[in-house]
Amino acid sequence: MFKQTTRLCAIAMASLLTLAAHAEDVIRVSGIPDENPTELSRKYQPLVDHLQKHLGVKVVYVPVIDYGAAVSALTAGKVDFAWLGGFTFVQAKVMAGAKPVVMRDIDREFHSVFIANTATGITKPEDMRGKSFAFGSKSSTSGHLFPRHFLSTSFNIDADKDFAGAPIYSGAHDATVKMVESGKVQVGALNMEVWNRMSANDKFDKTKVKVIWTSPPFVDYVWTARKDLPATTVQKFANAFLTLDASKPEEKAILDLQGAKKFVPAKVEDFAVIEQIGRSTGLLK
Amino acid sequence: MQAATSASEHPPRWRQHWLWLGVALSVAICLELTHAQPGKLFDRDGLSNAGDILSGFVHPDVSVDFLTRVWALSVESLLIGILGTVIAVLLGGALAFFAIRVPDLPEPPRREPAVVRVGLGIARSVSRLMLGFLRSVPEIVWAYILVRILGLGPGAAVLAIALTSAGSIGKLYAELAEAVDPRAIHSLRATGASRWAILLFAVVPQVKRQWIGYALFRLECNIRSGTILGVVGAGGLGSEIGLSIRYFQYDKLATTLLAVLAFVMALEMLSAQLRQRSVRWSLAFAGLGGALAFYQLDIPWGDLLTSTAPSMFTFDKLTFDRSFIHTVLGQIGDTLMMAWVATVTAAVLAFVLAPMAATALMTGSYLPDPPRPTGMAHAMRHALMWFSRGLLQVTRAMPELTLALLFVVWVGGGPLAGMLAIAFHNIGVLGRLYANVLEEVEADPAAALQAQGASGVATFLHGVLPQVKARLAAFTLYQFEVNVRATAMVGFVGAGGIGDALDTAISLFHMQDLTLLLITMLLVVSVVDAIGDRTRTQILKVKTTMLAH
Repeated sequence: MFKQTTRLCAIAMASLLTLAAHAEDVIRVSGIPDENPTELSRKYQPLVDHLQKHLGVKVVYVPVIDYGAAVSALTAGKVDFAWLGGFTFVQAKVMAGAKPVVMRDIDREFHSVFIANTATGITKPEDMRGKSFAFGSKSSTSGHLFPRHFLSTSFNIDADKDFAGAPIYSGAHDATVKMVESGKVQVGALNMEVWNRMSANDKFDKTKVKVIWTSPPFVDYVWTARKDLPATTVQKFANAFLTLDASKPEEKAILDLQGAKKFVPAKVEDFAVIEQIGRSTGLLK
Repeated sequence: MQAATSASEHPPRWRQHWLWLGVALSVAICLELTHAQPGKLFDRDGLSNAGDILSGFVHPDVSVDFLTRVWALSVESLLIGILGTVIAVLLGGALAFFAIRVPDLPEPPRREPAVVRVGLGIARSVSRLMLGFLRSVPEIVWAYILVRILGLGPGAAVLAIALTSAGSIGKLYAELAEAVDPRAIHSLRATGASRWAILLFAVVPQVKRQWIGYALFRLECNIRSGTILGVVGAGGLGSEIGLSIRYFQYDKLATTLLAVLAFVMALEMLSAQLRQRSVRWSLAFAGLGGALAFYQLDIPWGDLLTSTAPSMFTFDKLTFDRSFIHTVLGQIGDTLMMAWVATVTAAVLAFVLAPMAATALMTGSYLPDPPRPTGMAHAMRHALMWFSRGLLQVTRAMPELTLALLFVVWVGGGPLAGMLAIAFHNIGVLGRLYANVLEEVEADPAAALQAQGASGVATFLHGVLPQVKARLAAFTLYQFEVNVRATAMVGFVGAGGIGDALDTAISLFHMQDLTLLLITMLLVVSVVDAIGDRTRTQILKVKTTMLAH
């Protein structure tokens, strides 16, 4: 028992030291796991390599299991930068003063799509009432927050009362497509960029799933820095993205994987509307 | 006592019928109120979903890559369970030491000063409250919160298991210690020995076998938990199970589930061995296993102290939002009803399977010199016995949360999936408890019947059952209390009940809601336990400490 306590202290000390050492020469990044782990590592690896080259320090990608874990990792200082959705960014900002850095051009005017299983005969959003419905993660901007908001404002549907049973939370955008394709749920909402990429790569049976509605635009994903990073580090990190050039083939490959033409600076004001909708839907308390 | 039990065991017939009718009616009402339709198990969608899951078992993923990964994660799950249990025993044992009430002599030779006595009194109440709180919060809640502090990996699972188990272990250790023969305590009291000396020299020697026995029982439970807490990122096989279900990879799912079965069963055998040997073997196992796990798992303990993660609890601005209270009350009701339906269903099935798994009823005899039958019928009885034993084993080995994930695929999300998961797991748990009770019956009445050529069923109903009825009922009630806590977990994977609100509160950082929910859980669990304790005492007319092992 005593020995274990000593060992515990020793380990605590050691990890404190490594933590201090880390801050200097390693940049740790993470992101919300909005797709399956294989797809995520396919998307992140070239980006991490690029950052490493551009920043001249070791860059480590820290995987997390759910959206909330990415937010906590950033607010707890376990990672320096995280690729968050609009809503998870607002959570990180409200809880720990996290700062927006850069976003993709498409994130300024992002969309959600509502999809339906073709066997249900649902063709327009008005048909959704009384059907079974799947969101993505509970903390998703394009897979939950805005779809819930539009259901209520555009179609007068209360997501918790007007569907067949409580809505299902699939956990990720690609999982929502799979659930609707299999018929386990009749209608679902997800990120349009993931939908387009899955369509282009034939990741599902197109005779079984159809888009029934595309949402008005809203602001979404953003690379976020933790509060206490030095301004120069943040600036260098931003430049690594802002200088990505679609005319260079290897940099175009990175942009293509992100579904973007270029990256643009992000401002905190852009997200005021998300904070307001977060509070009105009760997701942000 | 004999007279009292026999009186309560033979209430008038009509009363018994009313009781059974009442139970059946309550189950029907609960099904109606939770909108659970058991028919979904076998309708067109249900059967095709079940077929999907089973199809994985026809061709499980046995690629070298995946097997290597599953092996590594299985070992991690195993180590999580061992280290979690070791810490739980240390923590729970320590709290129990403060929680135990040591009886005083009527005229003590030496009284401690008032300050010490009041201090001890406060320490006792505080540690009891702590134990109660630790016990009432399900592992997955701790795991989910701790992943936020420690990051992905086994650390969160180890601590989650340690905290929840410490509550159960501490409570039971204290109860066992308070039930010891008081003579040894009195004689030490007379010499003026201190409280701690009495505990060490009069109490611990009497209870150490029972304490170790319960620790081994918890170890089995904890290894099961270790295989599934990964669904929230806390290491072990759980993340594989969660992901393979989310992305419909049933071949991978099958391989992982088979690994869970193999590891849990291997450990049950080991624990059975340890139970039969002297206490030293168990201590050696705990020491070696704990040390190995400690080095192997490489948990960032320092982060617990240095973490700047936002606190998950707050007593700031605790507001009683009306719609939230409404949701919580509904889900608490669902949780209790789900636990009740699951317990009753499992009890009925276990009641049929347990006697079929007993040697004396199926293939042997209660007679001292039994006839040795052979032939087809006898072989059938053997097959039936091994079938029920296998079924009890497999259902017990699968953790509730894993089953909940599977049933969500089979019948869709909601209370029905949760009920089925809890019921399925409990067939095995209750089956084993019942089987243990059946082993301990007096052979004479049963032998008398068998000597007259009574069949197995008749021997059971008239020779065995009357002896054990009260204890079976008490066990079932105890398991209902355990199931209320387990049902609170299944909502994390969409299977209904209060876990849903807990999951939402944690994943969306609604700290006020989470604080209110945990206080509610503590209240509900305490009330259910208190009612259960009273009813069991009524049924058995004795203290029910012996139930848990």
